[in-house]
Amino acid sequence: MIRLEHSIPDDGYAEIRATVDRLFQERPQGVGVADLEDFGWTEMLDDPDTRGAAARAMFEGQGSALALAGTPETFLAATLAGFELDGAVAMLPGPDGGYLGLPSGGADPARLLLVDAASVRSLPADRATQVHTVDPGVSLLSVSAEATADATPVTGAAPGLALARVQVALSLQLAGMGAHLLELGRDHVRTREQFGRPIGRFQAVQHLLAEVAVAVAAADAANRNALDLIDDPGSAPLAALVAVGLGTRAFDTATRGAQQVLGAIGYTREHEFHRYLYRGLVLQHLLGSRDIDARVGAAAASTAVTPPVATWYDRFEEGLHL
Amino acid sequence: MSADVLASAELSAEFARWLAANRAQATELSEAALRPAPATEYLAAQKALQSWLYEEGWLARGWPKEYGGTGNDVGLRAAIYDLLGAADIAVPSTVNVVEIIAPTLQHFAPGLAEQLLSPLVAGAEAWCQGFSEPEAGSDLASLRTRATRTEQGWSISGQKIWSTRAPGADRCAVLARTGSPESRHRGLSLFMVDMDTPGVECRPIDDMSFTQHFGEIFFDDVQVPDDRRIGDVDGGWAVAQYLLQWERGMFSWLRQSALLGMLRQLPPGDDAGRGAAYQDVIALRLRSLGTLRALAAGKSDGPQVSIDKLLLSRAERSVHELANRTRPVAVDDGTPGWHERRHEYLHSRSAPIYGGSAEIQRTIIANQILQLGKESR
Repeated sequence: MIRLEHSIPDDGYAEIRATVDRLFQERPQGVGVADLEDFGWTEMLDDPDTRGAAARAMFEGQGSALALAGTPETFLAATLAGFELDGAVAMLPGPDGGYLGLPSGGADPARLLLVDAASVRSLPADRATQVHTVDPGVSLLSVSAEATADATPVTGAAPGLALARVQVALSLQLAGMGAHLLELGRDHVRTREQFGRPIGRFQAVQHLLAEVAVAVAAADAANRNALDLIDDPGSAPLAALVAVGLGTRAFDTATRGAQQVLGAIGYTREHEFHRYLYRGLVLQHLLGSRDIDARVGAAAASTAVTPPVATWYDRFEEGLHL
Repeated sequence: MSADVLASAELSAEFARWLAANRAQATELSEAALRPAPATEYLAAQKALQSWLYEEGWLARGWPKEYGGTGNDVGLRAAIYDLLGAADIAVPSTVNVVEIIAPTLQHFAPGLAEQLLSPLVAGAEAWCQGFSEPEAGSDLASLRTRATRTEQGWSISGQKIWSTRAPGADRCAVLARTGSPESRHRGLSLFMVDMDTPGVECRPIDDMSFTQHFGEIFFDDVQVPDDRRIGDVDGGWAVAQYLLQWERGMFSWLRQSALLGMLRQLPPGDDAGRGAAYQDVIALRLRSLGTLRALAAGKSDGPQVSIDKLLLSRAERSVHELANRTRPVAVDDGTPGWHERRHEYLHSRSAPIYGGSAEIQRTIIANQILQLGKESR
């Protein structure tokens, strides 16, 4: 893996990521909640000390593996005051007052969880229609504004925190895809030779990939920050929006840079590049990435985004990353 | 937009109490420090603000006691810069040099550090760096200013350029060639030269932001004792690399606070522009804090700071372009602060050039992080 930080702290990420990568490889048909519980992921999420590494490893790994799994729903469960998920699919606000969600690829969901800044509501799954996407392997579930009329509030849920968790779960996947594309591009330009040398020796090619590295590093910083703040109702919403914004940007920069350095071969169906592009476009659509800058601008006017002081200041002594 | 600061609740409260009692003075000195002015006048304003903040205790905190501080604490210094920024008090730009030179001297020449640093920390002295030359900008390793052995120490001859705040500086950290002409980075050494040594001549350079940010320095057989050498003979490149980490790391932190302040002061409107610029500054803020932690723990990795520098030049551009779109600098509309805004915008255009150009940073990332290019390991 390409290292984009000063030193790798021993926070468990590497080990969890190795397990995640293996899991997604062994279960291409989908990873279920039982699998997650088996390797202890749900327990790690409950502990603030392990939650950050566990979430990053899972969702970045999931992005890199292009895997569909009910992991965002498992991640947001902690904000639902004991509500029984039972295979529900989290739905985010879409255009025109409706909601969109990404099913996990497993059994048909029985329920939908409509998550927005003000509420978390439950709706039977039969209210949803399927929406085809640019990604042939993926259909989104869509619920129109009218169809949400009889949605029932989830008692005791924390909407801002729930929404932040789903957003961060998706922005981590975008970042994981970006990191994967950076490696893909880098490995390609080291081996592809033209004019008597690997094309990675040319400055134009180098600089394209360097910009991808910068964008991925920025997204990493924002994702970690959002995870640090994920339980803070005052800060989590904006932190999550910033993570969505920088994750969106990292994905856009990575797909542009990787596409360019891969050249014609990356444009073929045979090459894996397009699978990342398609999936990322779908996740961006789900997140409402197209107007993320305006949403951040409006939200930033009234709140702050950096973590509670003590957490950060303490970490100076430990020399930990962020 | 409220500012969430790095400082602890106790420190924040103490600062707020102090500020309430000293607001007028702080504002006056801060405005003077931000006013575009010729080199020596500008430098004097920085030193006035720095020495006042030092006497009030704020710029003494976090420096080793040997240099007149309260005890070495990078996090505490970073927290105070954040508090100042959130209160719209300028951190004098002379502090940039303290943050670059002090850790470097501590690391490579602790005796010199103890001997020389106190007045720098206190704002009684201002120093500069002599690295770039007319023929050695991006290709710093090709520099030609020569340091030749003498009985008493060294004789330095040559020329430096683009030395920030050199006119009026008391001392200069000069990177000179002690090896053969072809030795490139392997034949360099760093020296602390007093600017009033016979043979040193310094001239300000008029720049397009209507100030004199840089100077050029001529060295004509300047006598420097060997105990002013920082690090090993021919070991200057390693010293310079370490120095650059602090330059790119701490300077990024100092700038993020100022840029957040600029965003705060913009009138509402253009949410998308504000949101994009805000993300750029927050990315810089989060990334540079991670770098400071690594520097404080002695676990920093030079090439990684190139990422910070690129995030910095991006944030400078997006905030200043937004500010310019909101309140154009092209014409003097008679509103107060036009001269400051004009200067700020024009100066921001040098951000992707100074401290190692964006092109150099990308090349460092490509070679040393992505392992591309001939020099890759």
